[in-house]
Amino acid sequence: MRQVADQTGGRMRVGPGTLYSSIRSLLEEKLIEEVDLREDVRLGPERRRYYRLTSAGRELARSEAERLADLLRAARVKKIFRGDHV
Amino acid sequence: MSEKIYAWLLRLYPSHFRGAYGDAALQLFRDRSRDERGLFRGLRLWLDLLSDLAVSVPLEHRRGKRALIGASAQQRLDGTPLFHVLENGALRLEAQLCGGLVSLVTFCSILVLSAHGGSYRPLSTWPARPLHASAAPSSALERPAQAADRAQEGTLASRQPTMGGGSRGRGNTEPRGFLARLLWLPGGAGSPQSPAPQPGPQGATSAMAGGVKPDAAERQRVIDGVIAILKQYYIDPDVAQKMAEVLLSHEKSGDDDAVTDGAAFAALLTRQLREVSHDLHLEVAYFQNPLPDRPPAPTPERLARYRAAMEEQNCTFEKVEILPHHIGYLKLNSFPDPSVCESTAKAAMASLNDASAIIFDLRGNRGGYPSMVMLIAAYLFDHPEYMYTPRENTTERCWTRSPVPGNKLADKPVYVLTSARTFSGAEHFSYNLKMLKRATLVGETTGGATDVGNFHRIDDHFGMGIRETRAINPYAEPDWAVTGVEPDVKVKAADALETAVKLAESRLQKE
Repeated sequence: MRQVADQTGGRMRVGPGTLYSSIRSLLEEKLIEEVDLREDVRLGPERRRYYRLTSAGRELARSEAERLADLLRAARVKKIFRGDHV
Repeated sequence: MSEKIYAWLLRLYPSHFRGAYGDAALQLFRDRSRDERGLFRGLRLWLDLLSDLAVSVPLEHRRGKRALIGASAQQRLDGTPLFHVLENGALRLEAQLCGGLVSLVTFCSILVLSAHGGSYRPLSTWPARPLHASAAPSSALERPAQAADRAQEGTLASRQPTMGGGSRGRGNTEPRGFLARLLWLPGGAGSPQSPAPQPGPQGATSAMAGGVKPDAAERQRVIDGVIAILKQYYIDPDVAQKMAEVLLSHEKSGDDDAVTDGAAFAALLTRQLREVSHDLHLEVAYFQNPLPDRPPAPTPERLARYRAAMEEQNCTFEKVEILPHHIGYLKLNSFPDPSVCESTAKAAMASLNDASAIIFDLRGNRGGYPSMVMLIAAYLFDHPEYMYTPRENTTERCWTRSPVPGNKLADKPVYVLTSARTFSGAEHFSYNLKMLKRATLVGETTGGATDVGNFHRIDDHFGMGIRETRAINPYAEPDWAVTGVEPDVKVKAADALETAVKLAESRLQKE
């Protein structure tokens, strides 16, 4: 959650409900998978759940990123951005 | 504290979601609340959480439902029906208690409503009207033995014919329809049973004068007679018992001593009965001339006389005309016996078949036969329609035999002209058309003669009428008894036709 907020400069804030709802969808579509439970010594005895991308998930994420990159390229060609900061 | 609140809010999610991610979600909440301290950050945290709940709770519930529907479809493909368990976990104690409480309240409500089934009819229960004749219960109250007993003791009302139209106004002590029928007052053009051998019309009129003052013995005899009849015939035994007690207590306290004549005594008893029962169909009446022991039986001579009179008066269809703008006008002064006048009635309605609107002039209509009311009303509907009458239990006869083949009047605007002299069967016609919103009533409030029930002879001078049927009034009580039917457009009876014509014309112009 914190990571999402940090990455978007606080514009996007995900709550636990939305987060786990999304996780559930991704699990159902087999885009992520849960890995074994283990304790994070840094966070004390609290139980955490960990997920990782499956190969299908990685593939989808890549294709989505490429789609966005293409979009960005097109935006640059059209000089939608001011300057070259993107 | 805030963790507890969030834990409670998590219960809004479906149990499968809670089971899978509840702890993790709570853990995330702990993380954030540990990191985001202070008023502003705390507020922002809660704002985030609430908006998160608002979005994700409905989403999760929808998703659960979708999964269930999908599963059902799959089972249907296999052709094997299956019950689906919505929740895996056992029901919570609170849920069980809440469900039990709701069930108990529902059960008690049904019990209470069924106990008041006879009298409780919400005004808005339009669909609660009795089912069509094929499903309607047949007349159950009139047992043959009862009918025979009644004949024995001189009950004078017959079930089928006549709403006699003998009454002359509201709220007085004068004998109304069924009592007038006994004497067969003039103007009650409805029946071949007229006239009773004695007393004649004059007798009835003089009955209004009041007669001599009944002495204590006669008063006692009448009260005893009234109580006996109530206990035997009144539809609600508990109310009958209460009425009996009230009558006796009034008598004991000397309230009845002040009456000056028989009519006043009858009126006083009627008031005392109605105070308890609020039943406007209940009435005690006084007759100066001795009452006959038995009802005058219709003899062939009387039937022939009636037939001749009807032929002479065109079955009281006084005028059947087409007014300008194709407005049909029917002035009908009674609802005569269909066995004599059916063809006349059908011819009259057929001659109005092409009218664009129709005006029924019932300003001088004193009532008559319910079957004629139903016969004419049938032309005004394209489907069988229930016509409430307090005179009969709900049976097949209470439904119009609509549609009438070849009839074009079922959807035409209808106006009914009424006056204070519109009685009984004419009120049956007017009341139902008004309540069904099938007609606009124009004129004065009608006479208020329901002419209900059966007449019981108490002695030579006193009798009483009791309603012994439980007709279903879909419009809730009261009907037109005593109060009459209020017109939709109140004008003097003399101006009613002109007003109705204007209304019809303006409506036809708009169409």
